Order: sequence, then C-alpha cells, then structure tokens
Amino acid sequence: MQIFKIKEMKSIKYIITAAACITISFSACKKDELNKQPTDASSSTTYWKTETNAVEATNNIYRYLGDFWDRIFISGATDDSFAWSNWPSDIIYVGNGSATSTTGVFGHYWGNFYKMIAAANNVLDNINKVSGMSDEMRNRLIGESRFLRAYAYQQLIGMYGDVPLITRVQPIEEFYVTRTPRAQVADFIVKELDTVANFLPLSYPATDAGRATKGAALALKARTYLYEGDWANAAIASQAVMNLAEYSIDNNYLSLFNGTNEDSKEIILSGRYIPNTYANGTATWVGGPSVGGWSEITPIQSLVDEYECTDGNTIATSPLYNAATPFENRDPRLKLTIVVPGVVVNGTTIDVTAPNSIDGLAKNNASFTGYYYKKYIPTVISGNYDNNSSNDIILLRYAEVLLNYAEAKVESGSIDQSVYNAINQVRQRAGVNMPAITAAKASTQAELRTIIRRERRVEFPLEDNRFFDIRRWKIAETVMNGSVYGILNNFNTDRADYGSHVLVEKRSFKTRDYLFAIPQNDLDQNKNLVQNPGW
Amino acid sequence: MYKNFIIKYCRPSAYIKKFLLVMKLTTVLIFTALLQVSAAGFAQRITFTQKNASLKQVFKAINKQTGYNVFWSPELFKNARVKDVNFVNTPLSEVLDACLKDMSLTYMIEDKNLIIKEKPVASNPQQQTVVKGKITDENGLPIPGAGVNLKGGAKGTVSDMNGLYSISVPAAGGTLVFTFIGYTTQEIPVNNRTQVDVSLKPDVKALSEVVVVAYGTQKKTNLTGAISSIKGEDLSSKAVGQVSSALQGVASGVTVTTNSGQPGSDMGTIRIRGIGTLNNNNPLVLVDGVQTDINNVDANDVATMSVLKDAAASSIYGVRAANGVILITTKRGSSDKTSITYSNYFGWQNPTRLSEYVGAQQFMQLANLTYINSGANAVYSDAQIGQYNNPARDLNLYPDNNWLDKVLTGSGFQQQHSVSLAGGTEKNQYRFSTNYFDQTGLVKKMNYDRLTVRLNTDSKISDRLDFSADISANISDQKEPQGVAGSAWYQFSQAAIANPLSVDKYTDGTWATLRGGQNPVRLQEEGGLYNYKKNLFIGNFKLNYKVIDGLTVSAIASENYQSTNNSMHNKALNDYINYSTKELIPLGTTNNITKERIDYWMHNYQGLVNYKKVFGKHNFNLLAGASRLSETYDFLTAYRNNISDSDLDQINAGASNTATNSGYKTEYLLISYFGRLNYSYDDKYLFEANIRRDGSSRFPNGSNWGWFPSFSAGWNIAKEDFMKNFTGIQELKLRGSWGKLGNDNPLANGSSASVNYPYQSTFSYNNNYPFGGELNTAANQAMYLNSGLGWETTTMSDIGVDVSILQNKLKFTFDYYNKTTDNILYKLPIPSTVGFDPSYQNAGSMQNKGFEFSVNYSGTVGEDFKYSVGGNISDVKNKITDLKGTDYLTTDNNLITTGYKTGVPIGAYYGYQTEGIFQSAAQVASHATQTSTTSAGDLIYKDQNGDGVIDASDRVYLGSNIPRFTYGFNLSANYKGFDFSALLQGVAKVDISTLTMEKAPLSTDGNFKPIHEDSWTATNTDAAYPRLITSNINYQASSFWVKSGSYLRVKSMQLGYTIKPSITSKIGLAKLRFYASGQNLFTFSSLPGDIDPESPNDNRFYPQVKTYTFGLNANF
Repeated sequence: MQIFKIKEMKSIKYIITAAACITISFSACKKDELNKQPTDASSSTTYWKTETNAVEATNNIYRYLGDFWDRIFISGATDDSFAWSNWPSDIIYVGNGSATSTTGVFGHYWGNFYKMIAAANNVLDNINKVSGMSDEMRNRLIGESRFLRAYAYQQLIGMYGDVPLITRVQPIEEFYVTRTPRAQVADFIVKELDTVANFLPLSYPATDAGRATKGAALALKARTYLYEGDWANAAIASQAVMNLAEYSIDNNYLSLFNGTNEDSKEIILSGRYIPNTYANGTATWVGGPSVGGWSEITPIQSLVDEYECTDGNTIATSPLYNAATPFENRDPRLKLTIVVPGVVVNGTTIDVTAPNSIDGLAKNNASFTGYYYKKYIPTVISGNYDNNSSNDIILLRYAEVLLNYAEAKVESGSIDQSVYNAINQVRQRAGVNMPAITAAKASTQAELRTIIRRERRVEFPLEDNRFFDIRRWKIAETVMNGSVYGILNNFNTDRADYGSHVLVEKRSFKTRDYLFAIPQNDLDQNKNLVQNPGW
Repeated sequence: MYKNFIIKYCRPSAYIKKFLLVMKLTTVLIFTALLQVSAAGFAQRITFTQKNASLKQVFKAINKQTGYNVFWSPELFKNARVKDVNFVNTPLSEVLDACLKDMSLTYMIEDKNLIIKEKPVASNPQQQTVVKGKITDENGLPIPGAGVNLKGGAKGTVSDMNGLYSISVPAAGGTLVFTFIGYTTQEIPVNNRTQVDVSLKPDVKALSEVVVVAYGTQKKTNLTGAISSIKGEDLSSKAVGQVSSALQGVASGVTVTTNSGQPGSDMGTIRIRGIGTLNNNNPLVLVDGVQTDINNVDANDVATMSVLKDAAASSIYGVRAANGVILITTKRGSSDKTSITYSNYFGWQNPTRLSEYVGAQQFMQLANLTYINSGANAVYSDAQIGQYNNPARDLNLYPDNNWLDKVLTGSGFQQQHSVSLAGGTEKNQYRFSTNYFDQTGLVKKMNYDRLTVRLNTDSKISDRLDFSADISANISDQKEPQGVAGSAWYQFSQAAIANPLSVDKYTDGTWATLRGGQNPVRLQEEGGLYNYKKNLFIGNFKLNYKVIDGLTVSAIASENYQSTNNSMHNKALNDYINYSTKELIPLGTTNNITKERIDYWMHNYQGLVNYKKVFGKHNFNLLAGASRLSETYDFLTAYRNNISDSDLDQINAGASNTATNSGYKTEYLLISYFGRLNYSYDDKYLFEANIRRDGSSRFPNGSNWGWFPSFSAGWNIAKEDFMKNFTGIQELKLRGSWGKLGNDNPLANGSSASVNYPYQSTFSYNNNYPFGGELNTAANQAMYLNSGLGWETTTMSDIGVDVSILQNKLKFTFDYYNKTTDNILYKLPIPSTVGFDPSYQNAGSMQNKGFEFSVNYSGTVGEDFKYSVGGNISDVKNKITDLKGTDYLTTDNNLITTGYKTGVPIGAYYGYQTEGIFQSAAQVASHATQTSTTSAGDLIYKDQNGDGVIDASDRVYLGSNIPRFTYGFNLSANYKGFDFSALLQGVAKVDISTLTMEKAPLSTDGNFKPIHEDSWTATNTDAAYPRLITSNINYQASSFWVKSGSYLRVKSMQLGYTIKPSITSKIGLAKLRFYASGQNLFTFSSLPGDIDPESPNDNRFYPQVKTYTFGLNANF
C-alpha cells in the first residue's frame, strides 16, 4: 500500500505563503481605501471651479424648457383639442372636468418647473465660487439662470395661482414651504426680467443659438404683465420688444413648427431639439396613423369653426362659407394647422369612417374627432416609433408679442393705429394674407377684443397660449362646458355620414378648474401647503 | 515489497483486488475523517510505560520518539488495548510485535512512515467456504463499494459495481459486517448459508444531523439559530430554469414569488421573514462560501441549501445578512467510487391563466355604451356591428382577433440535459458536471438557453494541507423579438391592449399596423432580435491547513467575473400597406442597433482560523476571520441608427452621425473582521456568540464601520436525565437568540451608481442640450446633498423549539421572531418644490413579527410503502414604526395608491371606501360631492370626514399586499419502484388591487373583458361593476378593487418509476428512473379565473406558466 510522503517543511512553506497572502491583502488597505468616489460625475461639493462648470450647469436648466409632449398636450385642457387617451398624459381629465388632485399632469408641471427653478437656484447660489471667469460671462450666465427661473414661475402662477416662491437651494429646514400670493410672485418675475434684460445679449453667435436673450426677457415680461392684467405695462413691455427690431413675422407659418426654420426671426424662445441625440416624439403624439402617430391630441370642431373665411368674416356671417365644402375659402391657417377629412397625408386619404382605414374612427390611435393636427408634424419622420422628431417647441414668438401688444392696448382703452398694425402683421403674413383689420371693421374695444381673441386662437393652436387665455379671460366656464364635436366626412357627399358631427365627449368646467390642483403627493408631504379651492 | 507490488499489479485479478482495497481504505480514511497522523523526532528506540494503555497512546509515543508517521485506522481496531506496557529503550520492532501480536495486525515501515495494517491471511488449514451476496440500498439499488468484513477476522472485501460481493469465511461460519458510508452498519450471522443478501438502511442520524452553517457545518442538534435546511434533490427535481424559483414552498420563513414565466426572466424574488426594509430585501446568497446570484448555480449541482433566518445564524455575515442568508454547497467528488449520472427532461409550458377578452361584436357594443354613457356619440355604427352576424363577411374589413392568442406562437418546449462525473483517489477527488438548459417561450423568438459547467476538485497535498479548486462557468443566451428591451412587455402589452377590430395580417398576406405602428406578430416573424448574452466565470480556491489537532487555518480566494452582452436590433418594417387604398403607410421607422456591455468583477479574499477543543464534556469551537470583498461594475452602451441593410446588426453598419454612447463604472469595497464562539456542555447546553465588524465604502468617511454582535443559546431537554423515561421523545430543544445585523445596500433596482454612492450628490454629465444644432454638455445635479449617512441596522430576536418524536418519524419546528429595522436607508420623498430628487437618509424604522412552523412526518406501510408528509407556514406582521414624521401616500400611473405610514404595513393600499353604486341622480345629489360628472352607475365613495366633499382626505387604509401567511405542503411516497412527490404552496391574508386587471378601457384603446358585460346600466341596476365611461372616476383607488389575493397552488407534482436494478444492471446501469412532472398544475383562488393570483397583472407581462415535463435519471 502506498502512503504519501510530505515534507513538513513544504507544508510550512504553504502556510506561511497563505498567511502572508491574507496578511498582505488586509494590511494593504490604505487608510481611506473605503472612500470610493464616483468616477463618471463630479461631486457637488467640489464642482464649482471653472467657467466650464458654470456654463454646463446653466445649460442644464434649459433641459426643462421643452418638456415636449406635455407642452403640446396642455392643449387638451382647452377648447381647441381633445386628448383621447390618458397616456402618456392624463390631461384628458383636466379637459373633461373629472380630474382629481392625484391626476398626473398636476404633479408633472409642478415638479418639472420646480426642478427647473432648483437647477437655476443652484447656479445662482454657487456661480460666485467660480474663479477665472469674465464678468461678462458670469453676468450672462446669471442672466440666463434668472430668466429661466422667471419663466418657470410665470408658467406656475398661470397654472396654480399662488405658488411657493423659492429663490435659493433650500436647506432642509426650509423644505416645508407655504404658498406665496400670485401677485407677489408676478412682481418678482417682472423685477427679475427687468434686471436680466440688461445682462442678456440681444443675440448669440450661431453656436449658442437657443439661449435666453434680452428679447426673450422682455417678451416674457410683457406676457407676465398681460396675464396678470396690468394692461399699461404689458403694452409698454411689448413695445420694448418691438423696438428691439430684432424680430419679425416669418413668411412661412408652417415652417416654424415642422423643424425647417428653427432660427426664424419670429422665434424668440424655444425648447430645442436635434435629430437622434436630443429628439422628441411630437410626430408620435400629434400625428395620426398615416404618419405613424398615435393621435393623442386632436383638433375639435370648435377650433375648426373659429377660422374665418378668406373674406375676413366668420363662418356664421361670410357668404363664402358653404356648409357642403366647409374647409374651402377659409383662413389658410386652417389647413396649415389641421388635417381635415379628405386631405391626402403621406399618400393616404384621411377618411375616418371607412371601416378599414387606418385613420378610421375608433381605430387604435386614430382620431375621434375626424381631424388631425398638421402643425408640429415634422417634415422628416424618422426614427423608431417616430421618437426622433427634432422640431423645436416654440415658447415665445413675435406673433404673440404683437398680439399681446394689441390686447394690452385695447384692454387699456388706448386704441390707435398701432393696434391694427400689430394684428395685421400677424394676419397678413405671407401665405396667410387674411384681409386687414381696419377701424372700419372694428373700432370699439369690444369689437377689437373679439377679433384679437379669435386671432390668438387661430394663430396659436397647440402652443400653450389658449390654455392661459381662456382662464385669464374667465371664458373657460363657457367654452369648456358641454359637448365636444368632431366631424365624420365632409369630402364625400355620396355617403350617409357626410357632414355629420360626432359627439366626442361631454365636458364640465367648474370654478375650481380655473386653477390646477396642487398635486396631492405634495400636499401629503408638506402640511403647510393649502389646496386650491374646490379640489 | 516493492517487487511484489509490481508483480501483483501485473496480474489483472490482483490489480482489481488492490484497487478495491485502496477504495475501501480510502473510504475509511477519508470519510470517517478519523485518520490520525502525527510526526516529530528521529529516534529508533522506545521508552514508554503506562497501565491500561491504548494502542493510540503507544503509537503517539512511537511517533514522538522515532519521528515516524504512523498511519492507522482506529476503525479497524476500535477498542484495541494493549493492557499494561512497560518498554524501556526497546527497539521499535519489538514494541510493535508485542503490541500487535494478539490483534491480527502487522506493520510495515517505508521511509519514515510506519503503517499498521491487517495481517495477511495466512494459508489456513481450516476449511473455508465462500459466501456470496448482494448489497442494496433502501430502494433496492445496488451499492458498489460497500465493505464486507468477517467479524473478528482480518478478512475484508468490497462490493462490485452491481453490489455483488464474495468473501471466504471459515466453514464454521461467523458474522459478516456490512458497512457503507451514510448507512447503518449491519451484522449478519452466516449460519451456514452461501448466499447472504443485505439491504442497508440509511443512517438517518448521520445524514440529517449535519447542517451547513456560516463558515462550516454544525450538528443539527447543536444548532442554536433558526435555520431551514433543504436537500439538493428538492430543488433539482423541479423543472424550472432558475434555482430561486425552485425554492418556492420548500422552507418555512421563505417566501418566493415569481412574476414571469419568460425564459431567462423567470427568477423568483426571495424574501426571508417578510419585507424588512424599504429598500433592498434580497437575501445574501453564498455558494460554497462566496457570494453570488442564486441563479448562477445549477440546481443539479446543489448538495445542500441552508436558509439562515435569525440574527444568531446569520450575523457573522454582518452587513450583508439583514435580509437572511442562503448557504448553498455544491456536490463534490468522492474517492469511494466513480459515478456517472445523466439526467434529462423534456417539457412544455402553457400560460397558467390568461386574461379573457370579449369578441369584436361585444367590444363594439361595450365601447358604444362607454361613449354614450359619457355623453358622446356611439363610435361604431349598427351597420358595422351588424356585419358580424354574417359569417361570410370580409374578414379584412370586419376582423375579430384575439391578439393574446395570436402572439402565443411559441412552442413552449423546454429541455434539460445534465451529466456528472465524480470520482477520485484518496488523494484527489473531483466532480465534473455540465448542464444544458434550453427553453422556448410561448412567443416565437423568445427563448433562453444556458450551458453550465462546474469542476470541483479536492486535493490532499499533505495529511495536513488540503486544497480545493472549484471552477464554474456558465454561458446563457436569452432572446426576444424586437420591441421593448428586457421584457416580453411589448408583445404582451400590445396583445393585451389591442382590440379585436385590428387585423394582424390581411388575407392577401400583407401585414396590418397596430397601435404605435408595429404589429407584434410581425415583429416575431420579421423583426429584429433582442439578444442578452451572459457569461459567468467563478473560481473558488481554498487552502486548509491543520496546524495542530483542532486548529485549522484556511485561506479562500474567490474570483468572479461576469460579462453581459446585450444587443438590441430593430428592423424598420416600414412597408405597411393601407388595405383599402393599397397605399404604403410610411411609418418612418429605421433600422438601428443598440449594444450594451456590462462587466462585473468580484474579488473576495477570506482568511479563517478555526479551533476546536473538547475538555471532557466541554466543547469549544472558536472561529476568527477576515474578509475583503470588492466589486467593480462597468457599463458601456453604443447606438447607431439608419442601417441601410436591415439584416446587418452591428454598430459599424449604422450611420456614424447617428452614433451615441454612454458608460460608467462603479466600485464597492467591504472589509470585515469576524469571530464566533460556540460552546456546548454535554451536548445539552449550547451557547454561541458572534461578532462582526464591517467597513463599507458606501458610507461617508467616519461612518464606514459598524459592529454587529449576536448571542444565542440552546437547551437540548431531551438529553436530560429526567427525560429518560419519555422514550417517545427523541429531540426536544429550546433555542433563543438575539442579534444585530447591518445593511449597506440601499436599493435593489436602483442604478449601480445610486447603490454604490448613496450619500453622494454629483453633477453628472450624461445630460445634454442642443444649442445651435449641436449638443452642449449639461451638468445636472439630480439629487439633494445629504452628507450624513450611516448604517441601517436590523435587530432580531428569535425563540424556537425543535421537537422530534415517534422514533424521529414526526418532527416539528416552531419559531417566533421579532425583527426591527432601524435607520433604514431610503430616499424618503421630499416635497417636489425642493426641485431635487431625494437623497438617501436613515429614514425610519420597520418591524416584522411573526412565527414559523414546520412539521414533517415520515412513515411506512408494510414493507414497501414509504411516505412522508410535511408542511410549513410562516406568519409575517409588517408595520412601519417610524418614518421621521413624513408619512405619505403615493399614487402610481394605474391610480393605485399606496401608503408609507407609521403603524401600518409598508406599501399598504389606500383609497376610498366604497358604499355600492349610485342608483339615481337623486342619490348622487344627496351624497357628498364626488366629481361634477358623477351620476347614477358610479361608485359611491364614503365621506370619511363628513365634510360633504369626497377628496383625498377621505382616503383610508384598505389592506396590505404583504401576505400574512405563506405556506407550503409537501408530500412524497415510494412504493417499490414508484415514487411520487407533490408540493403545494399558498399565501393567505393578503390583499391585491385588481384595478389594472378589472377596469374597463376608457377609450377604444384597450380590451373589454366578459366581466364588463355586467356593468351598471339603467336596466341592469344590480350590476357587479360600475357603469362604463371614458372618465376614470370609478377607477380611483378604492376598496371596490381591493380583493383577497389568497391562493393555493399545486406548484409541482412528480411521478417516477425506477426500473428494477436487476434489469438495468444488464445494460450497465446502476439506476434508471423515468418520471413525469408538472409545475403550477392547479390553482385555487377567489379571484376571477383569468387573474393569476401569484403575479396579478393585466397580462401586459409574460404570464406565469404551467409546465409539463418528462425525464429520466440514469446512474452508471
């Protein structure tokens, strides 16, 4: 039998080696070896050192500007549009009056804008730690940050009324804030904009196109005054933008929205997108099946009816209006904005009642109203599920400044030729060319008010203006209550469904709906917040 | 001697004999683990005086004085005594002769080794006769290599491959002693027979008594902690792809839920004693002492599994043990015989329960009703609905599709093949195993295959130094059709939502589009492939050195490398045709490719010192150790779009201007020191203390280190003298423990960065914004800075009792525990006005209290029928005890509201209390205001605070989705060659929200279920469901949708038959067994028949599956 021989010395060697290994592996622990730091991101405690740090942190605030689908979906809470599904946005419930304080969009806008505010406060609190930066650059970045913060507050007060005014990164003991009166926040906004208008350049080199400008600050100031009903100051502020001579009405209405004219002289501020690497999904959400979209937001009859006939009269009064061909002889913006039945899109004739049309009524992703939006559909549709749209989301444009001016002048009772000029610049852009509004047609405050309100509505569908307009004008109880209609077929007279309107939904708008609910999650966490009345 | 040896080896019969002898000796030497060796000194003469000396004492003296290594097996002459000895400077040979002369032993000296062995059988004038026979196990299977000895004689042999033996005995007869490891020794008088067959009984005591515990094993009777022990067969007998799923229902205190049956994604979520924390609740899993993912080990390789449930059992693992610990040991080679096994199974999977949807006509009617109820026009014309009465209608225009059926195109076929080869010599042992698992899903292109290889080796470098090297690797490949990465979600969500009016494929063969454009059936047929490849290498190397008797030093190095290669290839599939106009629908999708690469390294070095000492009845066991564990995780992804040829699927094929990429790396380091003291007196009084000190890189400097102690004690009452008269009680033990555990693992599903750097707030550069058409870097600080963060600690006390009666036939274990977790690492929500994401805080406390009970009975009926029945039940009462005053509710996208409130279970359901359905406008008017659109047919919400308005303040606690009771029953029986086993598993006292499953669609985007036919209308006022409307006012979180989620499920059932060994041995097989088994066969639940209670969802996920399998096990 064999027995194994092992030299004891050998095993002693092993054990020494093993013991040494263990000892080395543990004693090798450097004192701060347990102090592991992220290697792909900079610690916030050591971040603020260089100009690049300051610039990149400021760039970050812009990311909240576009908020692409929610900025477009907000139209679902107006009499322009119907949002048929509760996904990805549940604005449908705000539209039809069945929202509750847990409805998602309330939390979405609130959270998005406070993130934007915190990002701006973070820059403002820390930018002075950065050394080796020119005062000019420092002031510009401060200006951009304060502008963007003001923008967020302007949106917040329009949606929620009184909101907490937070102007620095909060220490923990300040987390549980109370709401600041709307007027006080508005006051803060205009003062900020006054200040930053002096820091911000009129324009940027091409590589920086998209940053906040002096014009944006002034235009936002004008809007703030207007929305808060300070007509005199709104007119003055609008005039200031017009005086810059930096902006003009573009000759191509549709190009502003389809991604082909993003540096137009008409655009003052937009959420920027580029293909592939920073794209959005407007085609998916706005477009219908014919462009691979999901028709989440569609125009309703009320908006279609608002477009004048080419003679400048409404469909109720114009002799050009023919109920048999309702889309003919209309303000060209109708067909630039809306895909109406019978129109050919991407080779497909839009026919919502053909049983097997992909755009068919009640087909998955097809419109319930018979209409689709054309505005904001990019000219180039590419990418997976169209999530590669690169059209910018316009936030401020010169047409608004002009109409703000006109409204402010009219509401403050100082009607003069400049009011007509402002309105007509918008109405008579190349490709639209609607008859001019003249004193002969409308001279009283009431007449002009009607005209300006209609002009705003047909000029701005899918932009956020209508949402705020019907609320500040206190007309939402009228226009947002009752039935919402669409159309089945107005191109084929041979069919039984010709011209028939489809009842899409019944809406209810109560006083409470003038303001969004403060999101329930925030109320649950912060006992100092008080809910808006009626929610 | 040497010559002899050679000559003998040249003769085949002698060779075999020698081989068998070696085998036998190896068996004895290795498995009794009683080999005594000592060595020192260099003299040749012995001086030794002792009265009533044992042989052992003599040998020790020889060893000491001569330096010879003395090899002897006390097993051979257990009680050998030399009586009185008195040697003074006596030559070694004389000493040996004197001592061994009466014992039929002899010796030989080879180099410095003195080997004591049996005296060769001298040619005996006595008459010899040959006895033959067969040695079988309890199942009648032959036992090769079993020892057969003549009692009192030197003669011995071992059984051959077929369990047959032959031995010469004196004609006068004698008694044969049959021995085999793991079986009780049997003595049988020959009584003039020539054929003596014997069936050995398993030594139940030997097999069940040792339990794997932290850093070693422990006799079960000496355990003081709460441990569930599971045998490998209990896992490998189930036809599931992942070990975690196989753990379901087999141990008390262990809750396993599986959410999906998708091949490769069907792992179970394991919870030991409930949900202990707000964050990562996964237990620590150690395979052969090294942490890994439980699903990385192949079920066929599992020898034992221990679940350490209380602090006493697990606290030596400190930081990582707060959620319990699972210890797995893998099977190893042995020197007694070379064994080859092969097993396989083939099976098919089917969905357990699938959502039922209405057909096209009912769909249109219900949709119309929804819109009309909401004040809109009907969307489907009577003419269109009427078309469906015509069986000869044009199916392209008037389709009636059940999409859920359409996407279930896969065969669901699965197969597994497993081969193992184990064997070795007394010096080296090995076990090699390989397993191939291939599972085809319910959906075409959705499958998973995995190849596992493991080689476990043990080498005895010297009699004091052992080395083991275990290497395991696996390669897996999971595939699914293009859609949404990482889940079957796209296929099923499309199918569950798409209404029956959508065509999948027109009769002319062209594809139809579906919501979002892409048609899931077409994606299966023509789309790109999403492919997730995982490669895993684990090397485990261990040196064990026995310094002196009882003192062992071990060094363990473990290297773990895992790489994941994901590839997501999307094909454009743009050529959809508008069926009516025959025009192309330009979807504008593109061919693109995303590649992901994840590398993971884990290095773990451990040093252990173990000292065992017995002083009379005092038994000490001391352990001290240190461990250093580091992890690195490295992620890289790249993407390109606009691939010109849709079949090309690599990055370079895409347009370079569309390229994007991102990547990061994170690191983790844990340094630990630990110690344990076990003390027992007379096996009656047991005590154990543990201490661990952990330093984790996940905490800020200064709070890296934490202490985690535990104490436990046990009392084996059955061993007390006063219990002598209670002969029916074999075991009665009381246990008690208290301990503290740590947790530094903040979140299970968080990104690697947030897990590893929980206290750090950073500016990340992975955010960009375009200015002037070019991306500019945007540095984002997402998280609020919280620099003070410390250990999360769990304190657990446990009282348990183990009882075993009726000759160990009936066993109970009962435990009561109280587990409190403090300083929970959690991102407690902060008001969104702060504008940053919350950072981790030491956020609060939680308590889990409950009991665990398990019972097992094994019995026999007659000779052949053996059975065992068992059951286990666990009770968990969970509640949050502190949340820093920030109790909150949160509402998800499905409107399900869950609460994080002090005094109630975590994640409990909240919502309105419903009081029926409004029957009239008058009733609506007289009730508290709900919404402006509320009318007859809507749910009545209770005005809890009586303020006349139903709002968020009226929401109340509605139930908890944490099961109070989790239970399992198992049953097994053997009759002759047949074996049967069944496992039932269930939960009780649990609530689930059926909101996502039972709500009707709010638009035509969705599917109605048959239950929606019973919705409220003016003519159906006692309906089960509220009226159908486009608003979600009836789908707010409310008690209406919270239902009992209790269920009992027949998890597995198996029937096997083992062909008589006498038959199979003719074809060289020691054992051949066939079996059929089923998983998830039956389910009992009060929920509607189309909701799976184990994974209640709206069928937008891969369903749970029923699996039928057939297989065989063969041993060669």
